[in-house]
Amino acid sequence: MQGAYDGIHAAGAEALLVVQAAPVLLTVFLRDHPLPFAAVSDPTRAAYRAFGLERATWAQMLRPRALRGYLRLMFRGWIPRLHSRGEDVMQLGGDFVLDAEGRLSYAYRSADPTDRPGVDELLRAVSASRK
Amino acid sequence: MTLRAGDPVGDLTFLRPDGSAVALSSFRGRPLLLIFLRHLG
Repeated sequence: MQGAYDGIHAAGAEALLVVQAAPVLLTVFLRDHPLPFAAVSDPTRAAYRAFGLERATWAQMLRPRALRGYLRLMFRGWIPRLHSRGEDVMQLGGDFVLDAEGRLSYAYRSADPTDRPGVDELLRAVSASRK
Repeated sequence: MTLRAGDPVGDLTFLRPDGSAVALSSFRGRPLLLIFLRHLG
């Protein structure tokens, strides 16, 4: 995480983690998983909707690619646990880059729960947003 | 309508861990990578 953030920061950008959990739960998360950048809460998921992030269907949740992704994570030590109260377990995530003026320059909306872009792609997107 | 590259993003309000509000516009001035998680854990 730090290495990836160093690359983002070196590119002159900042990062912001957005979660749907309530602020108090975010606080607990950050205590156990300190981050080198800011994190905020969107418990109404208004920002999720504004960025076009949708809810997964059960078909998306159970896609072989998604299941393989979860297995990979588990082999790396991730332990699945129940989502926190108020969170929508079907909500999909995504990654976006805004340029310095607040315009969208990159969007990656996850197609299934384990679908995320690689760090290199995000670094390229951040660099491209400065042009 | 789904946001597309080049579209201005409306000002959105988030909550900091301490519960105070923060506007997305307060992060302007440099490129910003927004990482939306599915859920914690």
